[in-house]
Amino acid sequence: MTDSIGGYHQRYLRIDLSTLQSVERPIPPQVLRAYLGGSGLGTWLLLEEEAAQFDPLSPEAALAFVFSPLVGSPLTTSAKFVVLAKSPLTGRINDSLSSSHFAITGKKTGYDAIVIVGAAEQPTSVIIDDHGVRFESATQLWGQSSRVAADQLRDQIGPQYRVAAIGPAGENLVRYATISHDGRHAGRGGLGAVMGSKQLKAIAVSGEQQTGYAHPNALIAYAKDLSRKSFGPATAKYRELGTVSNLLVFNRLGTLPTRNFQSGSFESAASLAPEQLAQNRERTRTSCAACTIGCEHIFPLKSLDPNSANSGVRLEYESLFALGSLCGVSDPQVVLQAASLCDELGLDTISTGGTIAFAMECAERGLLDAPSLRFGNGAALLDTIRLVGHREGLGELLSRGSRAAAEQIGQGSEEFAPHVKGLEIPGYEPRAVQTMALGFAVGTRGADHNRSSAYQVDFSDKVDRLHVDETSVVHAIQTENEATLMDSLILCKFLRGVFDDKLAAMAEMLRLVTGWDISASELTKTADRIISAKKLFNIRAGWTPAEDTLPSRFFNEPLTNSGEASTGAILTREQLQRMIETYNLARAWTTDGWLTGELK
Amino acid sequence: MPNVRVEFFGVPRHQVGVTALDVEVQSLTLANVLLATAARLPEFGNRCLDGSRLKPGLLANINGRCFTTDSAMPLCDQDAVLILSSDVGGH
Repeated sequence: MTDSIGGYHQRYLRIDLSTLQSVERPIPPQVLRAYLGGSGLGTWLLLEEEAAQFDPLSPEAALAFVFSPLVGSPLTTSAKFVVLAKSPLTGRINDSLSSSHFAITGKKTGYDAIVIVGAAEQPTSVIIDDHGVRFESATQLWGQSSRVAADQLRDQIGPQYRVAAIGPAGENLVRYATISHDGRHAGRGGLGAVMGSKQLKAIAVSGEQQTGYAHPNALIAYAKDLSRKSFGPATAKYRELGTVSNLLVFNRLGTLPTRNFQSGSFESAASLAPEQLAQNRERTRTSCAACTIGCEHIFPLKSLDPNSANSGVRLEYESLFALGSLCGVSDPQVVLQAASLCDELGLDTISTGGTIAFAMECAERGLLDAPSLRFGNGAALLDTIRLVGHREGLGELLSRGSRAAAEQIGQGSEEFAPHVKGLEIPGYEPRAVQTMALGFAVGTRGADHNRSSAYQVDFSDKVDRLHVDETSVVHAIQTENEATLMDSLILCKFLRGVFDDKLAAMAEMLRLVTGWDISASELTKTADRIISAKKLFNIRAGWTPAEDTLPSRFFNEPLTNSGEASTGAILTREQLQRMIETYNLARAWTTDGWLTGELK
Repeated sequence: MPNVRVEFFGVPRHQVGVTALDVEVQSLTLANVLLATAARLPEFGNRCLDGSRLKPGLLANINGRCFTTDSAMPLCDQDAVLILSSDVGGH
């Protein structure tokens, strides 16, 4: 019998879909303290499962749903979980976070994580509750959108269950398929395809098993204070406008990726402003479970399907840029319809937009026979999304992402395929936010703004974002460490502005929940350990230093048509390489990024 | 008299209901530009300023290049001052 630790069940559930068996396994206390939860604990679990060596779509591949010490606590924005696996898009570690009641209810099943291996013989739903684990046929759900499948499953088993499910794209093994729940998505890296490869349509959770807290009264007082702060000016942007308001700012700064990263501003950006997206009807606002910020803005939608009950779509900046400026599309209704279509099919909007924008450029250059696929053609965008979701026609090629498509198209297209390690680049033009360029290059899951968060450095007075050098590395490491800890505790990054000292605040929250006397310096070491553990996974999966880079376009083509703020911006390979080497040494790795010893 | 263009984005634009305006300032510092803007747009002063400084949660950018909250920052004739939410970026 182990002593209880607040916030943890100290065990995980391992389900084998090939044998339809499940077992409980303990998680040692020292592992919990070393990896915390969420992204960190999930990385440890994947290493334990030796997941790096397996094809991500093979039965042996492990898929982990991981909760955290803070989920279920009164701390605002803590209702989050992580899904991790080896990505079928990148072949590298992938952790995808999301927020909903699935996180709260999933933890109440009595486990800190649920690991799924094997593959079912037929479409299957896994049901986990206080009575144990059972398996139901999902044949009737197969082919349905995740939303419809979740509704039908809950009709069948009860409204108390929370469901995460895949849509047609996951079933069809599209390598950037999502896992969806309560209208939210674990979006990046194609973990929906991992579920699809296991013929796992849905996972439903219900339970009543709570963890205790080390200092419950102090935790409640802290949570009240944090909620009060979360209503303040640091989160006003998210609350009042949502992240779509980034688009006009980025356009003005010349950092808005446009037409497959051919420029940093979009002449029709004003047509995609929030007020244009909500013409004629008011948008509505909602929030994740247990969140006081309320950043979700739902925009009215003229549905493509007259029978659809879906009259609105949640839109974030990343979806807006990827399906708008990146594809040269200026019709706000087309962008909203494209985002809705991605949701229905279960597609990551960033990789969908990135891959189609790449195909548009290939078609315009005569490298791809697709006469209607041109920048700005909204109808072609919508048609291509459908083809991708069902892997039909051109969609078969594009369903594997821009890297694989470029490998097949050839003819120099690899130079402008917009990815790092196979993951399509988010909405930050690397030549114009050069600390972020470093973050993209060294990111363990590929081009990623959320794991690095280095754009915060570029959008501050710490650096000149167009002439960044090795001195910015220390700032990039700090933002990456903070993001790693927030993804492991787990807290929403939109809270970051409310803390005077983020590490001290995170240490205090962890102390109140677990009882650990933990310091900010210990948390820094924890972040280092988690990032090195992700690197270890990638090394075992075949990582080499050559993949820590950016597409050649960013070194060969100065930014054009990017306004006075960024036109002419250019990165050099030597400049980025110096930053990468400085980063690697600061992480206590070798100059070219290999680990130097055991994880500490 | 020197002229500076003040552009509003995000929450500040939402709050003051204006996209941009030109202000004339004799002594070109960020503080003086902010005060001149407030004189023209009282709502800006009420909602975005603490004295001659931007309120917490807001940030200035000069000509799309330089981010600052330093009210003493010197400016040049024909500069553009962007008023933004301080948390630039995010998904």
